Amino acid sequence: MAHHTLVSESVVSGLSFELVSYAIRRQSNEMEENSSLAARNEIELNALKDLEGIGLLIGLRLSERLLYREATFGVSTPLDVARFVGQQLWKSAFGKKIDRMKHMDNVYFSLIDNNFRWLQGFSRLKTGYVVSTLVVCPPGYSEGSVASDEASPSRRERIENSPSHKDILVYTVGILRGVTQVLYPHGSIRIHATLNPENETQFILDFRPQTSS
Amino acid sequence: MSASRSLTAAKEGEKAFESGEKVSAEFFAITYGALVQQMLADLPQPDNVETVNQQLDAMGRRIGARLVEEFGARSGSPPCRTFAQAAESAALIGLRMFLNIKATVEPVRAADTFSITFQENPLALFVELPEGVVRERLWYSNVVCGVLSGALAMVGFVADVVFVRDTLRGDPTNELLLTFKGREKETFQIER
Repeated sequence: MAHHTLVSESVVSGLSFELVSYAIRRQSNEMEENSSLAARNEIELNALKDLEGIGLLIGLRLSERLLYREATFGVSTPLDVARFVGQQLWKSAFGKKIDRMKHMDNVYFSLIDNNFRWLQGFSRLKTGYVVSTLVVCPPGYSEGSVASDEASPSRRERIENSPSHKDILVYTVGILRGVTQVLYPHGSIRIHATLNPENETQFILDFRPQTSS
Repeated sequence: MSASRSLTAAKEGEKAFESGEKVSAEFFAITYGALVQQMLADLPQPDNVETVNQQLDAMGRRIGARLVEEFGARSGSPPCRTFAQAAESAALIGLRMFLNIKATVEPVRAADTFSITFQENPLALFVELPEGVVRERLWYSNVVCGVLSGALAMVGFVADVVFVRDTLRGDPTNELLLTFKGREKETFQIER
């Protein structure tokens, strides 16, 4: 990365973890052992909104810096956007390019990171479990009653204010939303992320026009 | 503290930085700025800026405690037996290795307090502090103090680290004071 100042990736991972912890803590301070399920649900949703909101802000600012040096990024097709994210953004934020990119008809992209840096140090998922940012589930349900979804943090994690896999993914999706909002101003892109037991993290950029119902 | 040893330490810091995974300093500065902004917005009373200084220091301690293992593995720095050696390693190798900060270090009082000075601060890219209580009381990069004290604590040195000059406040340079407070006591003893 000529012409640009760099810092160690370890420091940025540490800072990102602390930011996610901070966003969770400011909501979870209200969580008590005896909170009702409805109260915990609301606190959880607020924490995820906060996380995505901060990520969005960071993504917006970062894309302005990245585009400042990419004067040739004039035409933005979905493929251009997906490549920019997988190459320029991943290099800037994670120190490497995305490992793989799959697409369907140039409107639906899956960016696959084989060992997402910000989830290193987190526990491995059990076979059959998936974490997805699409599933909104209160923490009370994560203890046995949703067999196929490990998305919600355990109650212990929330009471101790420890980030979960999902918190990290929600924050990263927020960054992607901020970045793509600048890169692709003419349409809305639906973005979500999933993590599987093989430790692959997929970031989905869905450019398909939404059918109004 | 000989000049040649300082030169060696600075070279070691540069080598350690070059050999590690690196990301954009802009992304780092933007992330940090968003967090500081959020902390300021969350203050129950807007003039209670010292709270943010404390939060940034505590956060830095946690980050520093996590970085020290990588420092030990990758820096090539020998174990520090004296605080002077630890201060020099932290300032010249650690700050360079992780933050790409090129610092100088000078003793202020013999073997007790060290001044760490640096011109370019990667955290302060794109930052202007508003006039008033924030500019007067916020040490914007206070996380650096916590990183240093947190890392030193993990290798047994208790240190106070504080900013005394900051270019964001209009000072000509950035300066930290690092003061040795003692050795970390063992949390448990094995009696035989």
